[in-house]
Amino acid sequence: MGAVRPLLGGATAAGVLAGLLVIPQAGLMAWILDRAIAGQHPPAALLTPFLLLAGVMCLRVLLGWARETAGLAAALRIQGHLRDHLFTHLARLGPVRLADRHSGALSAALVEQVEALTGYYARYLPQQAVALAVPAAILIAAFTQDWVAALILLFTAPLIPLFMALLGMGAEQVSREQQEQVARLGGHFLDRLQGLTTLRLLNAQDRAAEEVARASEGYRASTMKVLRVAFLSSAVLEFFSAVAIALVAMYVGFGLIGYLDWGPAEELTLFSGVFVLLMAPDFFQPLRQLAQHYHDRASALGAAQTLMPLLERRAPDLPASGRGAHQGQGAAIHLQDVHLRFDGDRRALEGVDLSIAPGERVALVGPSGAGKSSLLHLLAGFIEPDRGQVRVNGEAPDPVAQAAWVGQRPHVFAGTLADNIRLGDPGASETAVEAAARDAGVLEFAAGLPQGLDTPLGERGHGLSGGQGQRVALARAALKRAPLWLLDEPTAGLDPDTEARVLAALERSATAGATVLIASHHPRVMAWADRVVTLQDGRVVRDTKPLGRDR
Amino acid sequence: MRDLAPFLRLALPRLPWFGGGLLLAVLTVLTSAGLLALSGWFITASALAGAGLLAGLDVYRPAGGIRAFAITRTVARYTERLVNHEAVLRHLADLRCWIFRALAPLDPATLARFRSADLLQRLVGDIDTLDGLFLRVITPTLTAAVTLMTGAVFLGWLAPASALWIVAWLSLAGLLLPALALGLGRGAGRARTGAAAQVREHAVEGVQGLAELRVFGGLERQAQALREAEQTRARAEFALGRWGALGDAAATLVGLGAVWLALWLGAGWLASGEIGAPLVVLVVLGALGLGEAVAMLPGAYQRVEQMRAAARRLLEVAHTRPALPEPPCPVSPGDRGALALQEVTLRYRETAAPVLDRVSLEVNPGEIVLVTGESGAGKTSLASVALRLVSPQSGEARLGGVPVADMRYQDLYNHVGVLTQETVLFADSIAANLRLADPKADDARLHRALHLAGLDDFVATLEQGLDTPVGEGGALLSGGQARRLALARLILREPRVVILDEPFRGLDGATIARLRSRLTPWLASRATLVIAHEAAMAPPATRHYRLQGGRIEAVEIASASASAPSTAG
Repeated sequence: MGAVRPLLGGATAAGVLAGLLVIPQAGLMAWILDRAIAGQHPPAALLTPFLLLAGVMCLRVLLGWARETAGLAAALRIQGHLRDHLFTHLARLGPVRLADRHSGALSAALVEQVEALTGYYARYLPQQAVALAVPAAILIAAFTQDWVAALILLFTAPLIPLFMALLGMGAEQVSREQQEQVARLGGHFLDRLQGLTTLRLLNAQDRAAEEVARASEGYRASTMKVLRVAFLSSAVLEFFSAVAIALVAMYVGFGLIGYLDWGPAEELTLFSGVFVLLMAPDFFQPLRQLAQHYHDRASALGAAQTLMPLLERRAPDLPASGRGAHQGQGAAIHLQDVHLRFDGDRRALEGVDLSIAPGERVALVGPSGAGKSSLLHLLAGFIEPDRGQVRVNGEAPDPVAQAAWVGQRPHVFAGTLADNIRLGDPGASETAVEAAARDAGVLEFAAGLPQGLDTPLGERGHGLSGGQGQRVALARAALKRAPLWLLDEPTAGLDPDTEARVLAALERSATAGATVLIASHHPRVMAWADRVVTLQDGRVVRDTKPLGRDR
Repeated sequence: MRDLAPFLRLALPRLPWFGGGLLLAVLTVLTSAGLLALSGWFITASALAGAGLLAGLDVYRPAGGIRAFAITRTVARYTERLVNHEAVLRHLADLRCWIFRALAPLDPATLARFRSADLLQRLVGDIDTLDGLFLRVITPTLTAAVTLMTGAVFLGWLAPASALWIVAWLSLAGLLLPALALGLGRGAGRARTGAAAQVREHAVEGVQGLAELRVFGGLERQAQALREAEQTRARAEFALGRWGALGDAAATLVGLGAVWLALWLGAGWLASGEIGAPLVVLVVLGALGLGEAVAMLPGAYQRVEQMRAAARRLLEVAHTRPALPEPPCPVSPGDRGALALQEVTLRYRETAAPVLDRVSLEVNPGEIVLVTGESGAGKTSLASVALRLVSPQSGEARLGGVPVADMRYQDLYNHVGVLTQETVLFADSIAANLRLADPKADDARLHRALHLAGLDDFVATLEQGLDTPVGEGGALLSGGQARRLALARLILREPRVVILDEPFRGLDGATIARLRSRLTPWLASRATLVIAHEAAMAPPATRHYRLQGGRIEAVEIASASASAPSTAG
């Protein structure tokens, strides 16, 4: 963030200078009034101070603008850096470790919470310096005119930081609650939006709308809580500043009448009285602004406290990539005494030993939750074992170079069918994409679409029926021509005909020598496989080769 | 402003809040100006009295006035902020509900026009953008107008007529600068709203497609796309912010200009002896206070275009009409719970071959009718026609003798329950997912439904039982568990007509066998339509049809039931 610091420095400097210009502005105004009242000068005789005053006003406004602009530029730059950093971190954590967070909540973290952090840098930090320098300078200027008036200002000022500290303690707490509310709201809404048709089929849309109303209402309530604290703090400050101004006004007034015959009051003139009075509001202004930006600080802290648990999750480096893919040659897999636990102490794998030769086709079977998916997740590099070793070609898994993945609910990205397939190999030619699409049975239904493979796709394969999304995912995998295929129930929901076609596509890839691991219960898959590995409660309980398949 | 007008109407129910906020805002600016003006008057009058130039000055009333103004201003500003924010947040909550209700009746094909990340941005981000409409544009504009008018009355009363130039100057600037800002914000405002939607979309997609992105090496491209959207947004935001700050600076300058003008005029009045010094100072400082009224306007107007873009995106959703609306004169479904399709022909596009070609089918209570066919043979379309999610070109689906198109959706779905091909669960607990089907169901009923769906054993092993969260889209469950939870949810609805689309998808042989035996008694009293790619993946049927090339034909039942599920593992 090297480029941010000069911007923040510039914002601070401009803010301080603009604040300091209040002194000559007040001085010139008081001078003009004094001359006009006491000296009865017509305006034309005061042309020089009038022009000077105009100049000071223009300069002040210009500096204020420079400060805003620099602060904004800094904030935007910080926001960009943070978002990028957070996304990289999420990417490293990977899909399995993030499964406990709703993607709506994660996207709220990426969008809203990152945004909430910026006010602190752009507004609060520069204002801190302004709030220190400007009141000090005004105080000195006031001392030169009348030390009692200056003392009135001085003694009311310390109350401000005191109150800010008191209120700040509460503000952080409510801000954090509010940020959590924002994240929950994001998850809640995304969930309901994606399930709208299901809600309708359940006749539950009215209830869902009421839930949305309730969630929005909760959001309103928590936001108001934050605002009440923030507004209260500035109201208290405003009150103190108003009291101080009134005190100064009364002191000066009584002094000028001659009611006060002690201290410097007798020496007060119209000029010094007006000068001090005009500066009084600006003595408190920077502090009041700081209090307003204290709200920025509180919401930044709130956001940080929801982001931190995410950022503090240990995110291992992404599996290193770069070793060239061995196309046409399958990967050898060795698992040795592999143990894996989920956070909730749930055992996923317990002492798995497994060796798979290059080019072998292995069906993983077993009841739900037996550890089939976990095994595939390990090989895809989404997670690492707690104990034991996972080796692909003798080294740690390198999914980008080696693996193709077809999950239970493949994600279909925004873009065309062809774009989605090309994710497997961005450099692939159109012919190659088409071939992969044909093998996986995508062309069959693409032919019926308005623009064939170039048809843009809707949400999550909306517009794609049942097995079509899975076939797109298979085409994507086929295009990659990876030495290791990891498939999590890829043919579930496909009819026998399409399933046979998909298995044939798999077989074509497998004959090219790829190693295939496929979690599936289907007899067809098991018949096609060279080997069936049965898992139960995280252990391999059976490892068989179907008859006539011995190598 | 045509895009924003509907939102003013939508804010009407919150009018008392907005009206109260406006009054308080006016009070705040007026007391603030009054405090400064009175203080100035007091000091000057005191100075004159001290010099023996003014006799009989009553010091106590002005001093009391200063105190009163100081306290009123503080209280007014605090309550003004609270009331206005309360008003806006209530209004925004109304808007969220309004958009959601606009989305709820849309059919899947219409809904598919929007991506859900984009809908989320509309529901959250775009609605949030509209908070400035009242907070920063409408209320401040009205406040400025009322304040300046009041200021004009006071100045006309206390000072020579030339003092009205001050108000004229402030009003002119208050009109001209916002108009200028409105124009300057046009391009960037629209760009910002568009880019913010892009940022959201890339963020959601990056998170939801993380598995694919990691394995296929698309992470860097996704991060790059996010970065680019971010930069576009930042550029637009910066342009907006820079012009906005310039507008505010100009407005501040206008306010200071008013003070300068008041000083100049005041020096003239003093020289010509038109009014006394205390009143001159009162006018000068009063002008300083009135300037506050216009200070924030240009920056706000500069964001109007951004709000309009957000408003347009919301109206686009609100104006989307379902392709299959509710019938004008709804008929309630007949008592006999039979489902019938009569000569149904369905094409998704005019030119394409029909997906369903004159298909007729009847499912009576007590029957389990099985329809098998290849993927894309139109099996799911059959269910969609029966559920009126699509409308056939000719023929119709009837429930109890009444065409489904003549029924209210609510009545239709009270009678027909469906297990859709795709399992859709919500990021909530097991119990909450089940209670979507019937909010009043007690735990015992939930357990019974789970038992019928073969999920009771699994739930019994869970520490939190029914309160166990299922994760996003049921991600914390296995595919088979999720499927059975969706089935239990259907069972809770107790529909008279049941449609099962690939009910046993993703289940192993043992589970299928258990489910078949448990479901059969439950289905016995109902009319059941089962769609599957093979008979082994369905409960034992009483009749069996095969769908091929859009045509339906009966299959002899003996051969269908002979194929028992054959699985290993």
